[in-house]
Amino acid sequence: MTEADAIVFVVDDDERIRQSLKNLVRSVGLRVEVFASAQEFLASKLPDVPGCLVLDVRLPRVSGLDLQKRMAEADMEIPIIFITGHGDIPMSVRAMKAGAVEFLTKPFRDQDLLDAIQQALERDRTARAQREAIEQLRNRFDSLTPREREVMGLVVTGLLNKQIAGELGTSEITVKIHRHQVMEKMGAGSLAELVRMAERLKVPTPKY
Amino acid sequence: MEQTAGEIKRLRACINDLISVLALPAIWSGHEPSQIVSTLLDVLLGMLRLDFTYARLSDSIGGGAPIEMVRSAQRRNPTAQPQEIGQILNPWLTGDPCAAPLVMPNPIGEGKVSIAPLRLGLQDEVGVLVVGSQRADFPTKIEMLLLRVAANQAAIGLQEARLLTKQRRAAEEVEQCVIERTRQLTGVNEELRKEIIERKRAQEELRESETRYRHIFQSAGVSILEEDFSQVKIAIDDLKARGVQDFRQYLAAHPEFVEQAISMVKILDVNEATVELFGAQDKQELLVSLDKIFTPETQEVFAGELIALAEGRTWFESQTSLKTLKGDRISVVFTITFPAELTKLNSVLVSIMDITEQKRAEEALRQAQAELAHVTRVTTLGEMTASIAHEINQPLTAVVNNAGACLRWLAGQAPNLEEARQSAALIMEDGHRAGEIISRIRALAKKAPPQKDWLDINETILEVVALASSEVQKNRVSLQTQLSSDLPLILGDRIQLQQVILNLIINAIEVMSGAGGGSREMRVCSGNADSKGVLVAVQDSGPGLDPESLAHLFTAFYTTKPQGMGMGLAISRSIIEAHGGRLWATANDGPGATFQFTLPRGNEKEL
Repeated sequence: MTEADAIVFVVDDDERIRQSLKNLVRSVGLRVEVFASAQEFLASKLPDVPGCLVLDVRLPRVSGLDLQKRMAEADMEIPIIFITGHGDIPMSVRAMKAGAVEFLTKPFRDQDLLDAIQQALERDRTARAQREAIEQLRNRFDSLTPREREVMGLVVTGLLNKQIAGELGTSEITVKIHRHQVMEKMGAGSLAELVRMAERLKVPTPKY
Repeated sequence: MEQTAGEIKRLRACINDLISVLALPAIWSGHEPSQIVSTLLDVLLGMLRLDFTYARLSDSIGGGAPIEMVRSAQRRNPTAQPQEIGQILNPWLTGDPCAAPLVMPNPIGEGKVSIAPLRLGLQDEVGVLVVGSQRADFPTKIEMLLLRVAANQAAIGLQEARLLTKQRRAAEEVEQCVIERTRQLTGVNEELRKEIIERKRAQEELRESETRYRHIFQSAGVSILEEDFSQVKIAIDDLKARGVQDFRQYLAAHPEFVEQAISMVKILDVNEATVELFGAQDKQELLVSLDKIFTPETQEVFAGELIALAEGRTWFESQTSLKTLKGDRISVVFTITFPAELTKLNSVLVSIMDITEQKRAEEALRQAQAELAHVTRVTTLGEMTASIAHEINQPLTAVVNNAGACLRWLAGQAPNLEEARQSAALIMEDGHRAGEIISRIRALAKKAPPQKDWLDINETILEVVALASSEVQKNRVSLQTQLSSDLPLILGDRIQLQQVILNLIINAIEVMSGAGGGSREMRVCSGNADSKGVLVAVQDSGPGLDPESLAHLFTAFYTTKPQGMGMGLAISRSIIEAHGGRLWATANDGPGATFQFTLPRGNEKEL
């Protein structure tokens, strides 16, 4: 991934603000796409690259805060930077609590906005990497047989092979083979790594 | 000799018979008349060997119905009816019974009979007795003697019997009367008993009701006073007798009567709530004159009470204020109920409801509303400036963004001059846009058509002064008004002009409180302007105006205040100019500045 792949989305109903934001973002070499309304933004097909959203709070019909809520409901995990003409404290608290990166009051310093954009993109990159890693893990986990998944669930709770064999009503040697297969398929170098993977995947662990 | 012996024998028989006859009363004593007659007839028939004996008793003896009775010696005809025989004997029964002929056909048999009719009683008041015999010598002297004696005895007996019967009847009657009377008395007694029970029950109920009333009286949450109005009633009736008809008029003309009447009212009793309401130690403290709890205002209401009483109304209610024994004034609603019977005016109930808290709440509510109105007025300009701020912020943001971009396009090893040039062009456009917004706002303020109405400018000033009073007090500013009384009405928009005046006053307050020490005196004056208009001036004792400020004062966004938008005076001037007036500022000779405006006298055509 290179810097050029990242994209900044702008939603503001004021045409001149949109134009100036586009100009500013472009001047630091970032790709930018502008929208005049929340609906327009929601309707567009977004490219699968790291990105962030510069969002005006006061928008006709669907406000910036409403859009933030709708995006959360639709699992659109794009970091948001709010800009507003006259933001009050309750409004900014609400936005920040809902996960906004920054809340800027117009007229803001151009550098403040660019810094916030960089921060938001960084956050998105990390999030995307994490999502990707989990996706990979999920694929690996899906390649396990049902028995292997069962063994994995018991292994990560710290049980010895002998105990697992007792638990599953099989021989210790069979468990050992399954366990080896699990470590192999999951690409885990150690039990500790496997436990972390299980945690991230939220693998169900039997309770005693 | 033989004759003598016969005579002796006859006499002896006669004496025997006589004794028998004389013994008769012993037999019939105490018997009924019919029994007496029956005995008499039987005895005479047998003793004198008669063919028949007949008696008829008068009504009075028979006890209502006449008694006729007959006895016959002949068994053959035992069924002879006494009435039939009486019919036959009738000629001898009436008139003189001794009248001849004393021989007549045998009424109950063959042949002729000699009869002897006799009276029973001195006349024939008791009845008559007729005896008959076929013997030719009948009646002999002896027989007549016996008959007479017997008749006399019978008459006496019958008389006695009659008396006895009468007595008995009287006794029976008395007895009956007694029984009847007793029955009646019993009935009456029963009634009385019931009545007594009923009365007792009623008394019990009355007592209960009284107790209940007392209980309600004592424990009611509302203050209740029992007052004696009888003296007042007498005084009112006295006035009526002297020809007073319109009490409303009379009381207005004679306030002293009201005062007298107040002192005539006696307080008989008060309940707990009253003791508490008036802050008394105990009820005794209140059982004196009404003067103690009346205020001058109450007197007026009391006069209304008197009018109600004089006009025969039974109910009166009014709001007034009373004072407690501690001297606190309380707002009350008091209700008085005069009994329908005017004679019972010695116990009139007056209830007093304390509405002080309610009044206080109402007052607080009114103040809160006034404050709200005040805040609304004060914030109108603030909101306007906020919206202006937003409008201006938009192009300003665009300017900053485009300028930032421009600098960045120029920076670096290979500046992008084309992009930089375009950015500069955008900046210029944004700048123009900001200017347009400002002139649009000013035009808006100028062109907003005022809702013109005839106004007394002094009233408008006083309303604003009232609105600003809390601000004035909070900042310890002394505000005085000097309002000219002979000003013409002007045509203007009340709200807009209020905003202008308020803006000037608030500005003055801020300028003076911002200056720290020094006097904080403000004067708001109205007067005649030279050209048939009015002049309003707001004068402060603040730091005053420097010549530079004077030049920019009314320019939009020019401000000397750290938090100011610099729009207030610009808008104010627009409003005044829209009214055809002028707004300007001058430095005072002493400390501070004066802001004043003129408004032309209204012109009908403008309405």
